[in-house]
Amino acid sequence: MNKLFLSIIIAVLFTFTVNAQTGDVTKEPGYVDFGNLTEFENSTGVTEVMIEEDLLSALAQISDEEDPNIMSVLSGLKLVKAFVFEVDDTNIDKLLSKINSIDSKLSGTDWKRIVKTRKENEAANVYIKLNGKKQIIGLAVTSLDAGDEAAFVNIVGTIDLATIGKLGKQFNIPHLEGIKHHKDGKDEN
Amino acid sequence: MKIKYFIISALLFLTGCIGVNRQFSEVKDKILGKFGNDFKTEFQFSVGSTLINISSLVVGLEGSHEYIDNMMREISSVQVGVYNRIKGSNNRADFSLLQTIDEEMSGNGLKYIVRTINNDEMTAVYVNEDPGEVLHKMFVISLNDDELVIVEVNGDLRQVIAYAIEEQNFQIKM
Repeated sequence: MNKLFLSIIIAVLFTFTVNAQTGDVTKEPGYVDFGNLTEFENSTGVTEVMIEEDLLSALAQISDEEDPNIMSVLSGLKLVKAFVFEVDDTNIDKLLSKINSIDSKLSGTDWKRIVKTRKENEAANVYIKLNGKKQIIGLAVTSLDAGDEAAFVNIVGTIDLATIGKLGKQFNIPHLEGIKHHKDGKDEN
Repeated sequence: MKIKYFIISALLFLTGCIGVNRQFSEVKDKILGKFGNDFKTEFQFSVGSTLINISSLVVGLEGSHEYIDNMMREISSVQVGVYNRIKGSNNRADFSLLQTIDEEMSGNGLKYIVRTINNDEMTAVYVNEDPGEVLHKMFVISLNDDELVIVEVNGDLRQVIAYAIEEQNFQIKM
């Protein structure tokens, strides 16, 4: 009986451990599904970044162990994903359409658009999602610069407001460096 | 004569500068297979912690790269393979090729963190899928019109990746 009980406990603990290690980040409230981007993968320039919680937390620990540094901005993050495509005449319309479809999808949800830029050859949107404590738990950036690049970026996890600009600078994410945050929870660019 | 062999053996073991290991060869064979074996080996070698520490000592003597010195001390081994493209081969860098390489790497317990294609150049960085080992192994695969380069780095890689982010900027934009 004791062996059976012990086996059940071990099995339950093991299940919890496996589930904890393979937590589905797509279920996180700060996650954004950009949809199918494979049609842009034939662009002459493509970059994909996919850094998950295990790597982010391991890097963040460096900051805890030593002097606070840029790694501290990674603390609390669960995912950094980015898709960057070179823009040319063959894909610009589809990329703009994708940016608009993501904007429609996020509008009217818990996501707040804090930056919207439209120029002749440029489009950019920055969205954040807040939890009940007014903490940013998700960040999304879509941007297009004709003749240059289009970027789709999603950062999932608790994002330190004071370091959001630093995060943008360090990862070279467009349109984040100028974001300031007020204590009343309103953000501006 | 025996002394000669002894010295050579000692140098190889002490510096760790010996041929690549079996796992590296397996990964290399699978990747080259994806390119239709259109490459011939230019050179491949492995550098162990002893030689890395000697290099680290040299860097340390210069006195201006303490961070790099510390970073190198955390690396236990580096394996490098450079393979030249055979003339007339048709396999060029494209995203579908990169995805098939990802599948092979995934079969070896590795996941990509960055993959990029820029014209005819392709680069991908892989780390261990096991969360507990995520920063203990890193593969870099780079392909251009002339050659394929595969690099495996083992050890505590936190400082290496932190350095890449902190000092060199981890560029999301191309």
